[in-house]
Amino acid sequence: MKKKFFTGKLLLSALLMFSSLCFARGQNEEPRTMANILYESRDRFDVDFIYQANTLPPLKLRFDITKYNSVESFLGELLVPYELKYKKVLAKAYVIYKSSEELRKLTAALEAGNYPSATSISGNDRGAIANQLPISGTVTDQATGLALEGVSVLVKGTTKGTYTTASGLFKIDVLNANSVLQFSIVGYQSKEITVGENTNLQVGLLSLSQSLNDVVVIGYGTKKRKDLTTAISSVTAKDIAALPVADAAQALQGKVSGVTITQNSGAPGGTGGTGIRIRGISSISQGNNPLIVVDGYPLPDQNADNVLNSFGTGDIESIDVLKDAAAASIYGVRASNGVIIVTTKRGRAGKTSLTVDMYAGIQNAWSLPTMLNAKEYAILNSEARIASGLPVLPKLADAGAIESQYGEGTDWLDEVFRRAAMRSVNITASGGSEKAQYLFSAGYFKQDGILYNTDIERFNLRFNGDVKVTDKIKIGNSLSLNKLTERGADTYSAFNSVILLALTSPPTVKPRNDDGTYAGGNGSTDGFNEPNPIYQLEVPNNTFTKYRITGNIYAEITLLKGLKFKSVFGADFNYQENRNFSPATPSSGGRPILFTGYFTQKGLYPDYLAEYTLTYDKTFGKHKFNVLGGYTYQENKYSFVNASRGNGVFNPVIPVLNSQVLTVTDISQIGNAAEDGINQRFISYIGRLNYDFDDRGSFGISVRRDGSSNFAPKNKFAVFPSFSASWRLSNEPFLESSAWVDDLKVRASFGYTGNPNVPGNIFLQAINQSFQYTFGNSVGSGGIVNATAPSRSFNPDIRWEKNEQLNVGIDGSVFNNRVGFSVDVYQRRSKDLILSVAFPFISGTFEPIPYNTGTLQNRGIDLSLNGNIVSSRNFRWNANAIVSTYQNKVISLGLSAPRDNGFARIQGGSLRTSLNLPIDYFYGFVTDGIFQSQAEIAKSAVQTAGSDPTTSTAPGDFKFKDLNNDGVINNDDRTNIGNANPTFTYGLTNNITIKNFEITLFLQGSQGNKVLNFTRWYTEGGVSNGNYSNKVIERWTGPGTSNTMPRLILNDPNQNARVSDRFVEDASYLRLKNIRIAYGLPAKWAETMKVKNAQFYATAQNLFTVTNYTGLDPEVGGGVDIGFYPQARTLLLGVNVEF
Amino acid sequence: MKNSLRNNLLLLTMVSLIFTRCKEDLLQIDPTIPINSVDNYYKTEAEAIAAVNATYTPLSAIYNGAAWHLGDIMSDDTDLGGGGGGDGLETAELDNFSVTSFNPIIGTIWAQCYYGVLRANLVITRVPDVPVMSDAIRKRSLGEGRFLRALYYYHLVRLFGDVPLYTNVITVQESSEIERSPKQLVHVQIIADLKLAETLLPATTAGNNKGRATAGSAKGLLASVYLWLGDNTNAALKAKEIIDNRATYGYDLWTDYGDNFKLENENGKESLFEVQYRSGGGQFSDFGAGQKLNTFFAPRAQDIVQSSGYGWNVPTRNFADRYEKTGTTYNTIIDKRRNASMWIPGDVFGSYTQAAQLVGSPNGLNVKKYFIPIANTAGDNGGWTSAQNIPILRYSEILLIYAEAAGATAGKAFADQVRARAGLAPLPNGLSATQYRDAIYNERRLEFAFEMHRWYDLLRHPDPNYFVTIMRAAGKTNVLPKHRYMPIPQGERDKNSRLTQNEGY
Repeated sequence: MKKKFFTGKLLLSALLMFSSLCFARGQNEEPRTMANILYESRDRFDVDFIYQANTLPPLKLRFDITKYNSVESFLGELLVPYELKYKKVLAKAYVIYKSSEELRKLTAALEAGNYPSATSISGNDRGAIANQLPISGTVTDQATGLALEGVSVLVKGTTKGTYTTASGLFKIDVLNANSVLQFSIVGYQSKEITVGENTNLQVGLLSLSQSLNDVVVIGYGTKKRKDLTTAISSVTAKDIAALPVADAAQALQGKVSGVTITQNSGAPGGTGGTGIRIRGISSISQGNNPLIVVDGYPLPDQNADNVLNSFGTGDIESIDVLKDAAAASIYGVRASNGVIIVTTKRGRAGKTSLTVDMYAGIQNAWSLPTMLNAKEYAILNSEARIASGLPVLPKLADAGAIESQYGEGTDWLDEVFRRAAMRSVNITASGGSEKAQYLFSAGYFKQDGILYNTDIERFNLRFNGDVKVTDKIKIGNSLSLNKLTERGADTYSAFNSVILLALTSPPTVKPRNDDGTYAGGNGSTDGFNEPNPIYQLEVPNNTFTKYRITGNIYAEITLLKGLKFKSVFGADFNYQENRNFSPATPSSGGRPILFTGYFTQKGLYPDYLAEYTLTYDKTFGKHKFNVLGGYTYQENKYSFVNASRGNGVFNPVIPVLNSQVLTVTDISQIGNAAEDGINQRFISYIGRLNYDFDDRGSFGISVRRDGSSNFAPKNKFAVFPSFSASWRLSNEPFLESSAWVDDLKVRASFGYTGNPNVPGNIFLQAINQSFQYTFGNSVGSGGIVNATAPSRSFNPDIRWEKNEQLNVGIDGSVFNNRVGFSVDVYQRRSKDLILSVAFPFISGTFEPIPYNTGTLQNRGIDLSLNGNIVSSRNFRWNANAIVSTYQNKVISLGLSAPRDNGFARIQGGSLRTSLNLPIDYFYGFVTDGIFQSQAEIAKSAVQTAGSDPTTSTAPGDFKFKDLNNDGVINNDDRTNIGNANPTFTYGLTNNITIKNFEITLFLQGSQGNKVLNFTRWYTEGGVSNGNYSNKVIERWTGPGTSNTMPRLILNDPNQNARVSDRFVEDASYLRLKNIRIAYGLPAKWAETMKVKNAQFYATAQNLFTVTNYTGLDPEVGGGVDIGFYPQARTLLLGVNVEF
Repeated sequence: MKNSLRNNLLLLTMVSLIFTRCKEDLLQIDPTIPINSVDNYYKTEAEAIAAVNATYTPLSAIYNGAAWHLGDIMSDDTDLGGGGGGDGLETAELDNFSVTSFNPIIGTIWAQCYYGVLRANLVITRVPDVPVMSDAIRKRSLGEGRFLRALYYYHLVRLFGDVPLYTNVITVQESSEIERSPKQLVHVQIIADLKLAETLLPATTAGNNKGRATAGSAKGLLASVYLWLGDNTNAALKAKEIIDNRATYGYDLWTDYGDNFKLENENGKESLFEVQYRSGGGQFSDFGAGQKLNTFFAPRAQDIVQSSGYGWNVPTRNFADRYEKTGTTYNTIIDKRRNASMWIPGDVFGSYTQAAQLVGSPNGLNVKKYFIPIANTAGDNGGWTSAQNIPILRYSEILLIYAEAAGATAGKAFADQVRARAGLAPLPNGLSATQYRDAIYNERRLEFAFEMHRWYDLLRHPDPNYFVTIMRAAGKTNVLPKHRYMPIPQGERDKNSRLTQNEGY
């Protein structure tokens, strides 16, 4: 039975079966008084009624409450025949009255917190209670002392009650001193107080720790945080909205323990990508991006780390991060890198609002290196040329003349960086009735890059709706439409990155001639022939446009009490277009664009989802069960066409491939027209059981069986089970009465997840068509024949990478919930890693093939701490700190050999993955100071293998350590010289409220991470004829002058610039990531302005960064800095108005 | 109300059924771009031919990147020249008998031979099942498969002795577990393959098929194998069969020895089998379709070939002194083969004159065979490689195999044919058997200069220590009996623990 339970068809027949059972209630009601009917209806609609006892007619009625879905339709049918009216006066209370006089009296009394004694809240047969003892009091938050509005105050054993006013006041009459008052409100622990002698009660309610009571999205369902048995961290709308970022992933930085967020680039709009690593790196070759689930839709993995920047951040209600395997395993084979669940905002019944949030600001680069000025450059360039035996460039021979001609010279960094604007508008309308709720939003975001001529523009629309079709059926949808356009520049390539060009362009070269035409370096006069960066930013037109529609509809049917069937259908259409147009443009620099070229790629990535789940909630006494079963199907396809055309001299204005403007002779090249497509399907079965005993112990089991088309035929399916359990110590007798422990829970979990990125079709032995042989006596290059043979073997056993994770955690809340904490300790082991394995050539093949071999381990601790530091009426300070630390280690490479990870301009690579060390550690030489004398060179190892040390090495050159003591420095003398993994990362968020001011201070940092600063490779001399950093002024010029900065010599015969610890820097940093000061308009003023709320705010981002790192920005994705787009310092002003 | 509820449910159920596709065979997706896999290939004649063609391609790399280091430089014929220092360390290891199991040249020939073996096995096992195919081409293809497999195993067995022997399509797993077979078994397989190949292959090829193996190629290789094994009876029989039927195969000697090495004479009348090259392809690669010997052998840095020449394969004095000459200097050599084989000081080509001493060449000697001058754009169209084929078997070798295997009485006349073309007098009569063999050995040395035969001639000598004696005499004091076999590449042994190492490595 259980097995069948998981198949889709049976699910449906079960559904049909239940449908005949479940709608046959609500007949044959006994006649009751109207008061009785109202009393019964309270539970159904979760409201209270206020009326004078004698208002109701003394009748008995037959009335079927269950027919009604909304309180208003119920009241309408019940009251109207008796000429009674009703009006909603509080969130959950209606006044029932005959005359408007009566209404006015009751509401006035209510507002004053003073019920007329003849008034009853709801009623029973006895009608109004005769009250003898008037009680009044104030209800406050026990921790903050703030008045609590809307607290329900009920006389125990009766239905008599009231609500507190805005200032926390209540008045109620009770029978006598033995009466007990019950105080309750959502988010607080309920309290009962025996009235006693005191008629003026000061009641403090204990806030349920905010996080404990939060609802957490757990994948195919939700759960209260306090009930969690797994490791899940969350960020709410408030945290996200406070940051002026386009990519929600950036809002997670420093907010969620165990999640390392690295902005790969400061390019506007997060287009450069934001690396999200949950608990370290789990795969060597198959991607480390977490699965991103938006409103239940697992987005297809495009191996891009800027997926979230297509969605409007203003729409996000919460982001939940599933960290341990037990939490993530419900997403099975796609979850080994963790899961990020994004939930967007939805409308709420009765709460209609229109919110406008807009801000505008400016950004600028916060730290740029200082380069040599024209005169210094002329002197030092000549020095470097003389040292290597080259003639001095005539243009630079006379430094004095250079100074008088160029002054300081061109400041290229100043030329390419600018002050840039950014603005954002977000409008959200939401509301609805009991039956239907909606949310519309529209957002516009435009950010100019601090790099000249780069920008991003995004437009996004959202429509989320929910409709109750009947009591049992609910349908709804989420839909988002986005367009994002990026105008980018090359800031990532090792050769033509604009930032590198700006760093190295000589100050004695100008970007433009006097007539406005482009200038630039010229090989013959400047010895520098690289493109002019200004020209690179202005002329080639590189745009990227992404159109994305992501949506789903769902239907949820309640089959029986607690049993719900839900089906979801979704689609994600992602269309992307790249256009790179480079028109022929004259320049007096060395690199004019001689021919017009155009390249375009258009790709469509459609993805479809169908999902059916059945959930059952049941409570038997102290036993609470939640069961989930389901089936999902997802298919994605990826197809693109690219085409280019080049070497043409066609009209530069119309960058279109088949432009009619072209004449035949212009069409010199049309190339690379290609279409490709990749299909992938997933078929999955899911199951989960959660059991809770008496709020004391819980356990959960979840299983997902995933099938992927990528896997070898015999390994199509993978099963990912997990187990988790928790024990709430605070509900045990020995802690229940503890004065300072409010909540304490220990958790443990173990489970499996997977990585499905198996290279497609590797289970087939493909035929390679690229061999060449020739027959016939053709001369020259003729006679080539087709020659085809397998060049790789195949792996019929290829399967997913498997991740197993053990997690132990403690959650707690102490000192009246003033301090909350959560600690998780974990060990993740990624097994069956897919690595390329070279097999013996005896096999007749030579290409290594992907094989499941190798193991990687991450061990770490996630810590988060929340404290209400000050909680007084006018001054509140809440702080939230997180610290994450992990250690990454390669346990086994199995059949595979150590991997070197190259970087274009560094021979032999700069990163290596080998046993017992973290992935991609820096691999290079170790320096041992600078040679101060020829004698020192003579007694040291030969510095450049195969060369004559008397000519290749001179005093002033680096001395590299001969690690293997073989007398020569060669590749065998390279070693581990550090890695990019931080010792720990941390974040500290402070929320301070002083009267109407809210101040948010967010500090974030990373400690112990190293960066291989390769910008210095270009700017500290030796390899380029371009400009140098001003640090070279402190170079070695004679014995004792420097032990860190080598002599200046062009062509670098000693290879001082080889990958070595010279370039490895500690890039620890502490950053004031964000500071935001908001002023909320006092309620009275807001009222006069006819708005519900209005808030004005000022935000500064990256206001300061404390670091010893010398590059542009210490936050470097991947650890090798080749001059990435630095993050900007941003100052902005905004306003948030709710109508 | 209840009705609408039912309707909704019904609708939902229908919608669900439409969208639900839970058939698990959906997980089988055909690639958008069809992938030719070993399982679905070999279905047409064109595919069969392409598979055969790929079986030839390892020859390009073997003869570009390994055969001359082993056959010539390791022997007493040539030494490593080049620029000195660290230039060509892997070749120097061979030259100086300090070779280790990490030597990349050894690795190259091992790997390339096995690529050829697998491809030949694919041809031999799959071509019979190609549904529609002309019988002639099916026969030819199977013959080519057999011939090439024999040729690759012949290279392997001569260099390594016992080697893994397989004739099926091997899996990765099997390749990691296969053991070495005794060399006798390998020889049995080679002979069986060649005997089949000579019946399957056509007598001649023409037009665009020139360069494919022929029945003569198979017979010639078989004669060579017998000679290698010391089976003189069969070697003589097989060689004689070719000589007697030379009209059928169109074999004859070129009048001028040098005609063998001209672009226009490729696959000519004296050729039984040669590696086919074209120019331009595979810049700086051993593995392309172009031949790199022109660049590697030409006088170093003299700009008479593209890329100016590396002078890596430099004739020894020991070799150059074998030529008959009237005086004491090399310009008195009377052997006509010298000028087509070797640069000597004073040789003039256009405005170029070979110097008495060059970088890497202390005696001013360089290999001239395969020389395509810089101006010959048909042979070398500006790239780094040339179109000149490399001979594997020439008719003159058949004559010399017979001359050697048949003994002086029956064979001398055939050796004299070869000598006559070189402008030399017949061998003297009345030589003892040993003297006669020494004379043939000498003849082969000069006739096949720089054709990568010499090392194997040293090895196959009836005196098992012959190569040690000769190489010691040539000044290679490191040489040891173990060098009869090269080390099994360590990389292969790392991946297949069952591969034993040859003694002494």
